[in-house]
Amino acid sequence: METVPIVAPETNKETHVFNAKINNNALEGNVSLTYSGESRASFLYVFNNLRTEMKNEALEYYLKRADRNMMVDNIETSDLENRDDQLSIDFNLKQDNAVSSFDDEIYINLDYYQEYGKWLFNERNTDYEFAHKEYLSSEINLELPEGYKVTELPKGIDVNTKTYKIFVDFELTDNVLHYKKVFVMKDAVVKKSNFEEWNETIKSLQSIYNQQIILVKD
Amino acid sequence: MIKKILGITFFALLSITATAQSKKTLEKQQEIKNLVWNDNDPYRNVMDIPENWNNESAVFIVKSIKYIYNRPGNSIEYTKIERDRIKLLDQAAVAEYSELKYTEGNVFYREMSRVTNTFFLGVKVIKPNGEEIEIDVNQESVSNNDEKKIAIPSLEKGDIIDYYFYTNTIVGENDLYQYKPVENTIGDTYPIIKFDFLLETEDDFFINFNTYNGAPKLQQIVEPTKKDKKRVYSFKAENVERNDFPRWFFPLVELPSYKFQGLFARSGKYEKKAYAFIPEDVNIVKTNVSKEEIFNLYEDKFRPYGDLGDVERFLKKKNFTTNEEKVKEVFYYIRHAYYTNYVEAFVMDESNIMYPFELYGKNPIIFNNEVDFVRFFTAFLKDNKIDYEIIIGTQRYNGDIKDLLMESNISFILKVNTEKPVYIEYFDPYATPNQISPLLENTNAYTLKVVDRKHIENIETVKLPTSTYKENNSTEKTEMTITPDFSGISINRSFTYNGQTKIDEQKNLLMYYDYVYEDHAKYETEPILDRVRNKKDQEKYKKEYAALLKKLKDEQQEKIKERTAGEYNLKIENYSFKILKNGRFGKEDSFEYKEEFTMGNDLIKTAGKNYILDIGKMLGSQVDLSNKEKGRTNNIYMNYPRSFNYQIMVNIPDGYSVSGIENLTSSVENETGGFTSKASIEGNKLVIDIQKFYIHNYEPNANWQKMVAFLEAASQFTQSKVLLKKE
Repeated sequence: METVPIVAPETNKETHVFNAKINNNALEGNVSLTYSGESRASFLYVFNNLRTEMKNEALEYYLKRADRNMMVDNIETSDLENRDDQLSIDFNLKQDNAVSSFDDEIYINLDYYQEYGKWLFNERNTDYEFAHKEYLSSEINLELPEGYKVTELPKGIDVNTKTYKIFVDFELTDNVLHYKKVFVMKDAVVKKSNFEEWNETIKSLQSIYNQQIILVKD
Repeated sequence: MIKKILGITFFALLSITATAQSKKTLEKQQEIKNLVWNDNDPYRNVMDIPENWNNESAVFIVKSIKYIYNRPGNSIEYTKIERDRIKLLDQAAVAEYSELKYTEGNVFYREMSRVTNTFFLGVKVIKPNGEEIEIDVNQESVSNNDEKKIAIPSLEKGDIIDYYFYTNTIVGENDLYQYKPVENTIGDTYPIIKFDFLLETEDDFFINFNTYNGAPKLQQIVEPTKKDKKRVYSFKAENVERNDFPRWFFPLVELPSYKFQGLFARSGKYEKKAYAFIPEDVNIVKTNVSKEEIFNLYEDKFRPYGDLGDVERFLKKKNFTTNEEKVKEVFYYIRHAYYTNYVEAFVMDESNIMYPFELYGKNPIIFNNEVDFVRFFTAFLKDNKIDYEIIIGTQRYNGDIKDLLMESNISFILKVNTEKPVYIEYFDPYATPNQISPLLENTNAYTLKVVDRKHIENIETVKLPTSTYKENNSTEKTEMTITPDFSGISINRSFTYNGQTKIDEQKNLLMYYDYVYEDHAKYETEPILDRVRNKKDQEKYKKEYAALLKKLKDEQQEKIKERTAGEYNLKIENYSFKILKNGRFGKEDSFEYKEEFTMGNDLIKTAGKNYILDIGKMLGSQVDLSNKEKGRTNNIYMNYPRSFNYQIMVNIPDGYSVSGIENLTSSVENETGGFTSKASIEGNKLVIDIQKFYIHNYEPNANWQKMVAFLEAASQFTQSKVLLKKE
């Protein structure tokens, strides 16, 4: 008898990189996504179940999340039929209504996806199992407009337990704001005994997601 | 019809039926299979599809529909065979057909008549290499109400699924029998290479049939002879593009379609008795019902008739300044006396609290159909020497009245020729004089001219009036108060509805108990439980009924709460609502209610020491057009012209001011409608006034971009934000 090998979360790695600029009320720029392992399988499952005549629009539809504020074009992908290699998708994104200006200040809702932001286990009584050992790395690099500076960078999070890691960091180098997040579900499960600790982390995460990035004139 | 107004929900029964097959049934099953899948089937080996459809989700190689009417012995037999052969090109189509859904065809019932219904289906899967796998249709099927499903295992992209549904109904000895009408588009949600329609009939079956909007005409392919009276008709279409069924559209008005109805009449005597629009000669297929034919058939149909005792008693105590007023008051009286008066009885009966119907004594008057109602009301008009006409219309989704084919597509409206005409339609609890169905507004119709208030002497064409967008109005006022710690918002909303919008909302929100008791009080009739003579019984029933009422009211509140939560797409709590005014007595009588609830901080975002308020979301969901919809090529058919007024008022938190109200100004207006918004600070309140309106119930496609312009402005407004700035 053989045992099924244990898979490390890195095998399922999903990465997002968005290099953005401000354009009036929108965040605009290039997005690069990669999917490996289980994250690739999840993506392909959803994608393949969309009707063919929608396929041309399907990817666009999927990337937009049916949100009127998301406009995508110039989509390039690796071979979507190939189930073995890493899957990559590149496209231009315009995220409308992500930026508001009031008087001389600019307010930016930087994070559209806000991953894990709704995962408070308040009423739950049993362990929570993820679909697989998730590993997500997300970067949003925002080029600040000339003549503006960031008033205050939100505080990050750095939690690393036996079962999960949640890391959020803001860094300003030259004129670019680097917003980085890493989520690793090492065990694909959050045990009930860890709920309290987990909930505290998620609350800190929500508090970050709830904040706007504020730019003022230099 | 009465049962529709009850709010009691019946849960669908999920059942698994293992079908035990008798030898006879298996033999019949085989017989039917040979009828469909035999060596003469021209499609049995067809597997290719045209290249230009390679990117479709699936393609019908053939869609064939066959109707057969015949007479075994003295019975009448109806058979329908639908056969589809579909090539599945993508995963979505494979998922769709991995569970084949069907209903067992029409089930015909008729009192005191023997009826036998039979249903068979056959399914096979053809692999790309030609291998055919027949599916066991005697396996377990899962049913949910009328719909059944069987599993089709191991389907893959590139497979062909070939299935048929065979429905057969034999009605025992019969002289006269009318089948249900059939009205369908030719196209389907996948393109069709070959569409085949066939109708085979014996003598004594009268057929009304026509095709529309460019569909091929029906051809007769077998003529009757002296020996064999059988007739066969058919039409075929090729390369039918897939139908998109967009919003705001009436498919039968524009897409290639067919309509027909069969009627069996054993002999001349029964043909006359049929009292229906049938061909003069059984060998002719009737393609249209003309104005003259309507006149001829209806000349005698509307003789004023009814027991006016109650109405006369009602009128005795009243004085009216005009006939118009009298007509309206009698209408409302009848709406109660012969409709809402009975509602509780049906509730008692269905909930098994008691058997109510004997409490209504003698023979309660109930109108079983529009004609009965028209005859009764015209009896009242004749008695009171008030002139009237009877209008024959057809609902907009059927097409123009000149294309009328079947009586089931006819709607009646009484036009009472008082000082100002009063239009009266068949009633439901919310029916109002001069408020006609939006599906009849602005249509061409025929009017039967009545002389002496009883003789139909002539028929003319007429155009029905239309309501305006200002009349069909919804006005909402929303007041928002943010909690001092900015963790949530509490909201009061009030609603006022008028016109067609009012009727729709009454149907959505009101329950019978919201108005029945007010009707009882107004017309001095007794609620049903007050009629129960035995005191002990009465007490028992009242207790049970009170419990039922509470349950219904809780369900009603939950339903309305979910509707509000759905409008905002947000979670809401602490919800309560109150009906202020039912609005059931006149066009000018508005329907009003209010609600209160709280929400969390979903619309509030921290911005340093300030806050950003997603105020635009308080407008609720707006029509959000996809790119595909923006490129729409069909004409636009909406229910009715309508307008929406919103006022949103935000109590500005102490110590804060509002920035960015210029973001809340918008204005798009054109000949199809518009969206306008403006905002101002009044004292410590932010006040936003918004208007959205659709001027017509129909727009030609040429005007679509004008509609898109104001729809986009409305949609964009939902994204508006203001800054609450700490002073």
